[in-house]
Amino acid sequence: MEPRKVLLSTPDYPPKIGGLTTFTLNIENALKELNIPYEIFHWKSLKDISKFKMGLEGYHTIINTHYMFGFLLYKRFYKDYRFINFVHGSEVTFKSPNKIKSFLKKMARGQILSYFESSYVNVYVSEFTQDLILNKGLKLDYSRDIVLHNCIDTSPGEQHFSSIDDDTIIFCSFSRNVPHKNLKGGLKLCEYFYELTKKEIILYTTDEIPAKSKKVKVISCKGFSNKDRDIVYQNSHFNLLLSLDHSKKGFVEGFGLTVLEAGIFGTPSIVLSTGGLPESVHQLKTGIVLENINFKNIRKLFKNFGQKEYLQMSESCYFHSIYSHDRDLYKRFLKPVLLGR
Amino acid sequence: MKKIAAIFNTNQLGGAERSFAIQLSMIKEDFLISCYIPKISKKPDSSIYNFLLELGFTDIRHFDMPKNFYRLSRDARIYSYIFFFLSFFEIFYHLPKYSSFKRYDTIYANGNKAGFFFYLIGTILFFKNKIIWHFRDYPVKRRIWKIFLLPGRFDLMFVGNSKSVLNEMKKMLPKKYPKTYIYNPSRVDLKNDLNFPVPQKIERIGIVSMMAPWKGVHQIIIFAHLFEKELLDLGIKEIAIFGANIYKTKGGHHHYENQCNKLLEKFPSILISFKGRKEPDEIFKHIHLLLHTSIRPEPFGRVITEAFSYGIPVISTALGGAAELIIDKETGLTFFAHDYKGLLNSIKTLISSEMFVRKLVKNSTSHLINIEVDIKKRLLRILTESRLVEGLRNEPTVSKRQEGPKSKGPNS
Repeated sequence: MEPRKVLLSTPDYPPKIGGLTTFTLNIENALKELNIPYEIFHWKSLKDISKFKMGLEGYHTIINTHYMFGFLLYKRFYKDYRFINFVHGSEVTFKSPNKIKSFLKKMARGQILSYFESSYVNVYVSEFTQDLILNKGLKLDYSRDIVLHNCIDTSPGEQHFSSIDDDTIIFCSFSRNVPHKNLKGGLKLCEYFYELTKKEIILYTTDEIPAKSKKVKVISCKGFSNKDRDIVYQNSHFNLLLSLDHSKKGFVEGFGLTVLEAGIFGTPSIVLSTGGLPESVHQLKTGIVLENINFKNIRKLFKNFGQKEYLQMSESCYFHSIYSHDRDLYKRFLKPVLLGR
Repeated sequence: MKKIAAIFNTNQLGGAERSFAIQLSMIKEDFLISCYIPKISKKPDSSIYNFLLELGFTDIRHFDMPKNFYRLSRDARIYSYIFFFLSFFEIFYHLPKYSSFKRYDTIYANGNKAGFFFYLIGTILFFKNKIIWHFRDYPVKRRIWKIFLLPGRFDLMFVGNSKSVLNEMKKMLPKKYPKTYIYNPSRVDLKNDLNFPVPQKIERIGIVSMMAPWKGVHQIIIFAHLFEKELLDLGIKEIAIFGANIYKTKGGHHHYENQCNKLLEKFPSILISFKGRKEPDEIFKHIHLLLHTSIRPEPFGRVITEAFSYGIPVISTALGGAAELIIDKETGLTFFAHDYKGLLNSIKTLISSEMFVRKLVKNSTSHLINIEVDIKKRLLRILTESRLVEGLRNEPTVSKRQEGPKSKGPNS
């Protein structure tokens, strides 16, 4: 049987960088490996979707890395196509910092939920994301709503050994400088580490942090290539992802892709217990999940945390990321959905 | 001999009732136990009654408990609350009958409906005996627990199924009452000299659970599809799913069984077979490995100890109370919830070494025996001490209260 054509829609695609771009590339890779003919529709705004004129003849399935394209199309073509949605988190808070947008999202919520309920498969990157939409009123159906933790290209991965006994402790935080990513919290945590260890502390960040510190040396990685970024991950002792729960403004951490990006080099992550982060970091096994950034807690946590514990964590973090989060899983998952048995 | 009224939560024999009955049978030589089964439906259900007879109990009685207590636990909509409050009239109507419970030294209520009911009755009728309220699940996170700050003349104690439940109870329930835990027993005919034929080959894997989403059956259907080839190469011939939807209520579990069947159509696998409800003996003689796949913390994980008691190795997500039973690489293997490849890796590890399986089975058996001994010890301790708080002097997980109201039961 001739494989049926797929339309992959995404709001983020290279040269734009970010989590959704990486995710789209992984799905594209799975389609390539399955030899399924596909086309990509890259939309940047709702206007692009409304102007969508690409013929849908010949397509069988529409995969959406963001539901909006499918939702607007579904109204016109719902009978003829199979819709698959990947759901990440923030988009199903139905909130926005812009009050008008927030109001419109709220108004459309019922219709959006009914779109999800009519889709063939909805894939949630974490149980947290699934619970989020469930709490918004979705009637969950386990034959349609599936949790599949994020996966990445693990081929650049290489186990790298660091020592927590080094004179310098290196942290990295490759997050955008937006309030919910909490770069300031990362700096605060580094300062606590300085007070705890009195060692030199270096923090690599994507953007400039809008705060200064005498205790921590902050190095901006603005303009770094993926290769440069990987070197920073390799040399770091910990990756930081201390995202805050800003669900009222429409921002949550659905899974936390940088946890895996660092993990494939054996660099454990320190995260806050918000969103899907406790699912991506397994407490004291593949990293550390903090309830809040508090000096007392950190001191208690690291009281009996030496080189042996660090190496164990680094090793299980490496093997877990490489083995359990390889993007090969997307290929296995999409095969029955797109090709049948 | 001290007299105990053992109150069942429902008239149907579920896991909690089975555990309670077996626990009682461990101490039936030490106390005069009267078993009370609530009258709920017009159609009598004799499953608990028959099970108690099998265990050698003779004093089995029935008592009236308002049906609306059950309605609220199954359907927490506004009208259920209205009916719940209306049921107080029913309680007042039957009030004289309940005063007969005063003659017992201890009222041991198994589950929240029975626990709340006897707390209420005890407060209204000024009971002076001990009331033990055994939580079979985690306490719900609601402010309702504050009402237990009301002054009562009886000695109240909360018991959980595991340390995990106890920790939650400590967070939710009033500090002034002592709290402890007693693990669930595995089965009636457990002997202390357990010696099993360890499975030579692992060919049949089993999932044993009620059909509810938090048990993670849907995850296993997807797992079987994703790694069917690898599992067949490992020699796996079947993944048998035992269990049914035992709830007759609406909620997340309502259509779960149908949804799992539909999921299997989307993600087919020749390995998966649905077996329905079967007796433990039949299940554990059929399977070589148990997968315990709960995706939410379990208050205990009784099926794990049942598998231990048949010498079946277990791979579990080890969430909540299950983590106290499964110690990774010692009494079983663990994997993270939703980690399909991690689960495959654990199965591979087990299949690759017969020695390792032997070690796991040996360790899990000793762990089980320790648990069973501990159950009886703990039960005797909370039931024989004149004041509940004294029985918990060395209990590290109880409240700091040093003194409690003296038990004024007739035989104390």
